[in-house]
Amino acid sequence: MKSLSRGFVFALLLAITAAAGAAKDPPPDPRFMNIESVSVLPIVDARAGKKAGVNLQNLQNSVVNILRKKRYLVNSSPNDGDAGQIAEEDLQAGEPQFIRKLGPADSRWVLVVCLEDVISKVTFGSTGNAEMSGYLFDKESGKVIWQSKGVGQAGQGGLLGMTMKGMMSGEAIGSALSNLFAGLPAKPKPGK
Amino acid sequence: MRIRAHALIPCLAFLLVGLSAPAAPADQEAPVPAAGAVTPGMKIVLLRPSTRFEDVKTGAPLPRIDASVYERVLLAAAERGVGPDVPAIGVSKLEPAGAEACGRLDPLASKLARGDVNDDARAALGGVAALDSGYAVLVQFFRIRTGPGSSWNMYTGGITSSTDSTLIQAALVSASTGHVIWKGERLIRNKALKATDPALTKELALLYRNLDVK
Repeated sequence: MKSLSRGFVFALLLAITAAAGAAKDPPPDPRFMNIESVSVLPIVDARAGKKAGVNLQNLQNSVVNILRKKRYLVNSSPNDGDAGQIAEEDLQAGEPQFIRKLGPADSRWVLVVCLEDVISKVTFGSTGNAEMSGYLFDKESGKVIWQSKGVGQAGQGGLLGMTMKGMMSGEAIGSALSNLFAGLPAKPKPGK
Repeated sequence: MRIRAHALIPCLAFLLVGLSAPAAPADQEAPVPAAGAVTPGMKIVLLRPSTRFEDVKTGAPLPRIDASVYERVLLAAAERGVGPDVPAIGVSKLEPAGAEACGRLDPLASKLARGDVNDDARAALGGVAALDSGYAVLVQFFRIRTGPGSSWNMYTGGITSSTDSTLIQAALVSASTGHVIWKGERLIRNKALKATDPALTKELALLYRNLDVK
């Protein structure tokens, strides 16, 4: 009887562990698993007001690298396609006829990232803030399959911090990018 | 040890003042210079301001904000900006066809207010011009974003500035040609201005200071 109850407790623990393991790995979203290759369009500069110098090409490369780390096959597109100048309002509206004009004609999945704000300033130290938004479209269905926002804050107090103002924009952008893509599911490792 | 603590107090006070201080003038953008002139016989239609109140991290609308209060403040500022020399007409005072044509401009207001006149806007402006070719529309876009505030980490010395911001954009567009006669914008970082805040009135006055209407 004692060994029976021990066996029952063991089986129960095993079941709980298995359930916890299953909860950690939710079933992959088929919308993302179907993605063969993503075209990353040039960064849309959607900033208002005076614009600080930002290397948008480097930013596009950073986006490509983040997607590669999430095991997507990525290519960097040199232009926006037939959509003309992209406005953030058009991305938010997500009209199918607009979506189908985005990026290279032969690409099905297109990622657009908007830089909404970047600022660095000196206070008692220096700080930097950055805001971005991202949209992943499926041109075949004419739908947005993922969208997110990313905010980054950076800063260091004191006299040393004051001398670091030049680094703050970059740090804030890095943090905003990381937050932006935190919710984008990674593709499973090959063979899984 | 006591001496050290005393020496720290002014430093802490200075740091806190620095973090909570209002946006420096450098953070407040100067309006774009006037792009053209208001011609004699022009009548200005004040469109209903387009407003957006959102969370900076999610884009979700902010709860418990009465947009109509902001709209009243914006319309009053626009009327003051236009001044007494040129007739400024509210949409409600237009005939039904004019009001309908202006209604078609509402979804395009955020683009129009920064001087982005696309084909859809030209078509809608044509509807306004059909009533009177002397009409020009004054479009205003107002956006408040709120998010993580300023902070200070006493262990690492890390500080951050607030992510709140207030954006006001306005443009005067000729209904007959679609030409942007004037445009201006103010971006106030680190602050979400309340409708009753005197700073908002001041910013609106600065926005319209170079709207040259004679």
